[in-house]
Amino acid sequence: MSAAASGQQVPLTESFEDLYRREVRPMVALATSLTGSREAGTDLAHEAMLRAYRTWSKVGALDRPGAWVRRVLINLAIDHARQRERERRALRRLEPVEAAEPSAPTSARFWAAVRALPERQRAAVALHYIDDLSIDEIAEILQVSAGTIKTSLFKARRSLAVSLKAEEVR
Amino acid sequence: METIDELGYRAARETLADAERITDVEAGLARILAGEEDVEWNADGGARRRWVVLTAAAAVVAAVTAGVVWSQQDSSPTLVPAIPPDVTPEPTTPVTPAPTATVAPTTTSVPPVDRPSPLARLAEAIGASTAIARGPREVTVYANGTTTEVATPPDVYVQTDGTFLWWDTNIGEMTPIRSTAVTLDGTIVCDVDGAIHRVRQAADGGYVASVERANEASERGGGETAIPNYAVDCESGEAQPIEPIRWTREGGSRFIQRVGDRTFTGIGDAEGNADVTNESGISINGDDYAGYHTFSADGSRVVYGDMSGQPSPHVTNVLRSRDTTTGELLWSAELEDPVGPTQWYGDRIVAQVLANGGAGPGYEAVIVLDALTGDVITTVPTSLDIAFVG
Repeated sequence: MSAAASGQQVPLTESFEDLYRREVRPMVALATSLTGSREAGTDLAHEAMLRAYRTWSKVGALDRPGAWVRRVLINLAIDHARQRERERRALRRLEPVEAAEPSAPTSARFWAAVRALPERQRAAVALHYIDDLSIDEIAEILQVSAGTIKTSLFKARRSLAVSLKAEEVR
Repeated sequence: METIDELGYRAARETLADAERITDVEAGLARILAGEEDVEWNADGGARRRWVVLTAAAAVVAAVTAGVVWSQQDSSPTLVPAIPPDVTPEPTTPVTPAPTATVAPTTTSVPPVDRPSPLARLAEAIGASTAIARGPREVTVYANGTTTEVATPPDVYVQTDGTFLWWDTNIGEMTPIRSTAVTLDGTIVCDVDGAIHRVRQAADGGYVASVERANEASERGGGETAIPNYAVDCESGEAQPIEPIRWTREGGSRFIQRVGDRTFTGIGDAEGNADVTNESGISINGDDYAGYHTFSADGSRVVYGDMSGQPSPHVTNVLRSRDTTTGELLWSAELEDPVGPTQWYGDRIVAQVLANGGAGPGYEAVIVLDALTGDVITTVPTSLDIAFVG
């Protein structure tokens, strides 16, 4: 788990460069899992970092800028997914959507199933596995209660068990 | 059998390793640090806006016929939590505030500009009398010799048939979609629950929209779920159920597409490509893995991109045309540059050239082809996202 995404206090003197170097790769992984595209994942992670940089005087003073930038990333990924859905509805043009660029069979299959989940469940699952975050940390990023995250993860596991033909728990 | 946790952590490890491999941290950081240079550019012969230069994959920088277009960095405040975004200088010419996702706009256009806009120059260069281009917060309409900018909410995907513009807004998670339709001068004619897919003006002067309401979908049969479809009176909001045109199914969707007197059925995949058949069940894209279909006005011919054997299912150098009754191949054109969306207008096809060979966002040119032969007529550099030409 990355320090900024966890509950650790990040020094106020941390530079944007330090945050970027520490967080950009897990953020690319997070965005790739949510979009199904390395290209889109890289772009969204970069965009979220750019927004942090542009408001760094405020974001850098937060206790956990890594949580802030993940929240932006999740929002961007949701918007990206909605945009793809809108494009799918543009039947007249039959416009394609982002390619799934699986890095390996397991991840491709797993994240494809995750992307079929409702938005909140999708984000909670990605944060849980990619960043290995706790319920409370995910709740903070998604700005909902811990109970809501517990419910979301429970429902997500149940749905994933069906779609992936896997065991919910052992 | 693995548990979900085992699968999830394994998928996460693979994805993180992949991100490690593909991410050049120092190069990305350098792009961000260099990307904050502000450039003011006279966007349309009048309005001066603040533009942010982005580089590499984030940039859409292309010469147009008489100037340079920079991609405008979107900084939608709705996406940024907790901290208000920096104040961005407003354009010096009056621009009507864009509607938000929750409030229907009252008016959405600005007066026509005096000097030829990039869109007007593009339309002239490709021989189109009408052209419509999408922007991050607006749509630019060139029609009847004038250019009008119609403001939209940020990050909406504007669709158009050349007569109306419409877009969907998701107000919130699990909230039904709402759509707004406007005329080309920005006058709102419809604001309804659901996703508009067509608007027409009735004989009495009122407006009727065909609207899909996916949130009401519940019926299942044969592995498909029909998306409820309505004819909605835009003034009263009265909705009359009509035949569905789209069904969701595992891995994609099935849809009906009507062009002129013709009716086609498509089976779309998760990539957005589709196998489309005619009324007799004959494929109008042969055995090709096809996308970006565009039809002649009477529906008798189709042009599409053949993604077969391409490195990406969204990029192709090959456009093909077929007779939609017989499925016969009429021509096949291999282009120098990879293209994306296509549009049929008159006896021409315009195809948008993807930026950076399809690796980056946006477009860098349009190619115009003869619809009868597939011969390239002209190529015009532009980064405009063309929604319609006519």
